[in-house]
Amino acid sequence: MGRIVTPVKIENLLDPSKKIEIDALVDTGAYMMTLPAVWRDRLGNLPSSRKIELHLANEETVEDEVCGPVYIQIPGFHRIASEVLFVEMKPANGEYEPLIGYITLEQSQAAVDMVGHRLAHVHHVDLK
Amino acid sequence: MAKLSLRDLDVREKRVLMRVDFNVPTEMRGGKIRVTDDTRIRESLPSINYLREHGAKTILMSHFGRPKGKRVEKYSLRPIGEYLHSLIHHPVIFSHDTIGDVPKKIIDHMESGDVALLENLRFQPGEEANDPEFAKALAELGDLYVNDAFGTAHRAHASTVGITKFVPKSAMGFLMEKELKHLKEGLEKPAKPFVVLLGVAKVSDKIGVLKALMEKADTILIGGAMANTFLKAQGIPVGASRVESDKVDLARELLDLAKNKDVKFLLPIDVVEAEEIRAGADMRNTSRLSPQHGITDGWQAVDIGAATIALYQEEIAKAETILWNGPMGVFEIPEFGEGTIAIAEAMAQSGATTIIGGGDSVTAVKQAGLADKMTFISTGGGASLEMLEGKELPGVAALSDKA
Repeated sequence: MGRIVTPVKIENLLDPSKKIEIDALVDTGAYMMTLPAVWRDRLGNLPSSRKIELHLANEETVEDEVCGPVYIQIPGFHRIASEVLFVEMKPANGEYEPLIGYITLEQSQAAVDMVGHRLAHVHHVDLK
Repeated sequence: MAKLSLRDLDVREKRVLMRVDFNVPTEMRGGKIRVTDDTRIRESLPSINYLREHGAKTILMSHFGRPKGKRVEKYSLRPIGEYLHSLIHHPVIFSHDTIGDVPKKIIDHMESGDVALLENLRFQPGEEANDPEFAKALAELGDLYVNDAFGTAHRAHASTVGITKFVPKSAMGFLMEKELKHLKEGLEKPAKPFVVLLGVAKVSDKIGVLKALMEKADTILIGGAMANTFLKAQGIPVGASRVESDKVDLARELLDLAKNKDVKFLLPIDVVEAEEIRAGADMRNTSRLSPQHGITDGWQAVDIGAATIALYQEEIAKAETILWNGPMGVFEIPEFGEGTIAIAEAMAQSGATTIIGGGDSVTAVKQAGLADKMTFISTGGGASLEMLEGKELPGVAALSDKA
């Protein structure tokens, strides 16, 4: 499929002065907007919503923290009110790689265009 | 006394707390909780959109499932908030706490037109207990209160009744108004013949409703598990069917009452019986039910039979007003849903005023693709039945009177 990296703006809804603008990897296997735990202070004093267990590709299970509320804006898509997941990440080549997971994509009504290697807008809502 | 409506409130720049009923059917799919029937969410959109268009800061609160006063993650309203976003095309700010600092801070940062959703009210034990402290904590989050949750208006909970004591004005939302109009006005003096279909599970739950309906209805058609208790009262063997054995005398009294009131009170004359309640179980239509020929030992009634369908269709065709509450059988299993679907189709073709009184009958009508053929579909099964019983709904009574 190749890699899709897109800019994303994340803003602490309770303190709009605390925001980050980054490039993040679209990862449909990831749960939600996922940031390295070391960035947590950059979003200010964001309340912890819950802890969740994550099953990693190496079969390991870790517990990480979901915090919010934040606004998340992928350019060209709806701005959403959501949460972010902070996980212990190791930088690759000296850089962290934040992930845009499927919950964030669904809320933003964004789908992966595998041919065009970009995000495409989904106009319908998901109802069985 | 008439109650205040949302239209009577000056909501601009105000924090408006609105009780909605987002207790919608869901399923786990693709690792995520998905809404499978969004009727109740969509029905609340007129009030939500009105508040947004009139510059209010809308704070929505609802219950979801039965978490019994504690946090149970599968009953979080988070996915419902995400779904609502896709309907209103505006961020829905989710507060992971119901009361306290988190929602307070969120609301402080809201702008006119914004929408927030509080975490499940029933994560708090004070909700169902109608605890004044919890009601007060909720009330502190808003300037005005609107109740648009008809489905819970028959419950005196903190978010439906208690809260009204701590806000200066409380009003009905548009869904609440619509429900009351159709159920109260529509059934106060129904066009005759007035036919009622009841398919609820227990006689004991519906004694008051049945007695009240006997004052108005010309014909009452019984289906569902409730029918078994009436059949037993007539001495008809019911096999292994679900029966309220301690309510057989009561069923007999109700049959006598119907006779005295000159109400045609019809029970199934045949049923579909099955060896067990599961898809693929052995099943068959019984012969005409009588004390000599009842439901087979060890078998259970799972639907009304072919002759009963024909009989009920005849009564429906004669009606000018029809009220339906509760499926005729175990319609969740398609093989046992024929009677329920046949009733829905007969209603759709009847030309009468048709009112679906909430609950599973709504699901059945939708599954049959006939929702748009009905005059009115209520979002509240329990509340609509209590209204029919003539009871005042606590969630309505508690709202501010019109001046």
